[in-house]
Amino acid sequence: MVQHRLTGATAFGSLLAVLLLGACGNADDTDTSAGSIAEPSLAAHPGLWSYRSTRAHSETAAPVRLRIPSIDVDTGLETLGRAPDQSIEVPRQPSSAGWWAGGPRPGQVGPAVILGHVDSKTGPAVFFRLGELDVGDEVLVDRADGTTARFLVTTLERYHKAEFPSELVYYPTVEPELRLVTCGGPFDPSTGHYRDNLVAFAAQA
Amino acid sequence: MFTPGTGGSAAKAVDRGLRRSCCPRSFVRRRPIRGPFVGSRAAAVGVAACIGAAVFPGCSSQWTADQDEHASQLTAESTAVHDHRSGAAAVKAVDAVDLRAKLEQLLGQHAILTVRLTRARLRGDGDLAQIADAALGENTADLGELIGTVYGGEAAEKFEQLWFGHVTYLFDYSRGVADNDEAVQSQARRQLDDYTTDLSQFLEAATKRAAPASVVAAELRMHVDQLLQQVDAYARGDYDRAFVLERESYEHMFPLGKALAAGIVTGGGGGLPADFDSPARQLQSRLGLLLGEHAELAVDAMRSGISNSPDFPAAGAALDGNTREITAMIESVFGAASAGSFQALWADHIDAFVTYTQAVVADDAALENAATERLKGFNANFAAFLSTSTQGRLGAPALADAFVMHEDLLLRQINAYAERDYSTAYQLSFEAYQHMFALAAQAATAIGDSAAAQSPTGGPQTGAGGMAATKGW
Repeated sequence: MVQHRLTGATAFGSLLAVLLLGACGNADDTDTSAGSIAEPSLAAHPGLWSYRSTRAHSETAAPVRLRIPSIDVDTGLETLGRAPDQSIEVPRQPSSAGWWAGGPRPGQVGPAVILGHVDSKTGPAVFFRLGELDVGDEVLVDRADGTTARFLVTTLERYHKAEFPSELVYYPTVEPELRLVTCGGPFDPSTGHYRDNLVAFAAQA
Repeated sequence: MFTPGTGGSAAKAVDRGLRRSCCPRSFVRRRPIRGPFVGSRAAAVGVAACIGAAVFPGCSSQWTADQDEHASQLTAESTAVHDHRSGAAAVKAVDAVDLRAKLEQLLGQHAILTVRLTRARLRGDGDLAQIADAALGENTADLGELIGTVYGGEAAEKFEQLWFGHVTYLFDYSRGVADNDEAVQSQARRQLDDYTTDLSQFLEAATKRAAPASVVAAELRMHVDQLLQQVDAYARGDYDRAFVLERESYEHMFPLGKALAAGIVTGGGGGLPADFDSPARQLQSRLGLLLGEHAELAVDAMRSGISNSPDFPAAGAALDGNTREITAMIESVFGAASAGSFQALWADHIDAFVTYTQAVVADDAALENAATERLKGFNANFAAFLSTSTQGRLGAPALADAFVMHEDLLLRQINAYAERDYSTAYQLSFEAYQHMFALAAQAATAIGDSAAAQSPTGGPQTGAGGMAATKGW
């Protein structure tokens, strides 16, 4: 089917040519090819001969600090990998957050993921007030090269841990995005864990 | 710098012909739209959000806008749409995902073809203008066919008349710029203003206000402004700006296509499926957008090189911008090291296309052979890279075959272009564009699945004391 796509166009063009010839009565006037293709001249436009496709890829710097002014968070960032059970590692220190190094870096296209504890056995932790975030709140991530990625909160959701939405959190996105993850919901003293996870979604400002 | 008016009598003759071609005509319904069409786009834009909201209470349209004489005429046409739709089964159910993908691809193609039509006129290149015009006629008919599948032939015909009208006015504007004729430019702008009102009202009526006229008109104005500005930039020799606007105009078509698809489906009483804008669908759309753009910008650059056009450096820069965006997507999934490898390979194949173009210009068989040999090397290396990166989800042999097709289409189109067989060149560049969307669909699925397989599982244990339980989060 594709092959005949411009068949009609060609016929139409021929019709146009006939119409134009009839209208102008001068073959020179209808020599529309004139000027369309220049005679080859290697020196005329050196851009063609010097062009080389871009190979310079600038890597986004690693995140080093997280700041969320509306809930008074200002903390360094640990680097998180994957635990033996395939779950994500959690920050070692309750007072600091951690960045999932297997995913995009904040400010890079894709969903960067930062985890923080909501509390510890001894008191509140870095994301104790994460649930107070409102849509539009600013989240800043400082990077090792001195630059800062700025995000705005878009939604705040709570999920049962057994139904954690891995696709929403980790699946590739087409713009730079950020997820902030901590615990929430009922606490089970027998296991020492919360039932749910709280996830703040943010988009680059 | 381009000098307005260099088109001379040949271009003026073409103007007369194009004005005839662009006038309302009998639109003939032809074959079904070609497949495959896959893809969508992630970026949630205002129009999409508002149209989505309009489906529900609380987002009313601005239908109380001034109703001048022109609008009144349009209202009559819109009423015809209503009348048509009020008939039994007048609005046919459509696959929302498929409709979105088709609209995105066709609207993107429309933007590129319109840019080429106006530039051909600025350069006084009558042959090119005629073929670009014919290709736009085909593109318009394809869009109309989509409208017709939902609203019927009468509505499709009205849509095509309105749509092709704006192509005509954009061409007229480029003619006015080329000829330094301010009256023609002003008239074209007025006609384009009317067009944005007319088409937005038409679509609002067709979608039962699921696509509010005020929102659609704003998007159409943006589309028109981008294309007018690129004409101005190209005419004054600011080719960098012209290519930036070409890219912006092309990319703008994708969220517009998504929004229109949502409005058409919901306005017809249907609901949007869960995967209409899922992360996987967004990835497919974005990759389709970028790969389709790659093919079109490669065509731009190669043709510019053949023509010894002064816009070649800008075309090359635009191609580089596209390469950086594709690389960024690769980096987000596979990391910086893989992104670096990807970009080096990708750059090799672009350079090979440019080398081939140089060979055609210089009529240098040895250089041509070097270019094709370089592409063969790329095919094997790039197929192995992508297959490994996706853990075998993309098979290397199938990938290599796809790359061979990509290269064959681009090389044959530039051969045809060099021989001034513009009809064939346009046919082949269209196929190259279309091919990219099929490839993007397969690649996006494999890339998404690979990313999902690499992701951690389960919800993290990020609390231990129980203090937060009292907060009710």
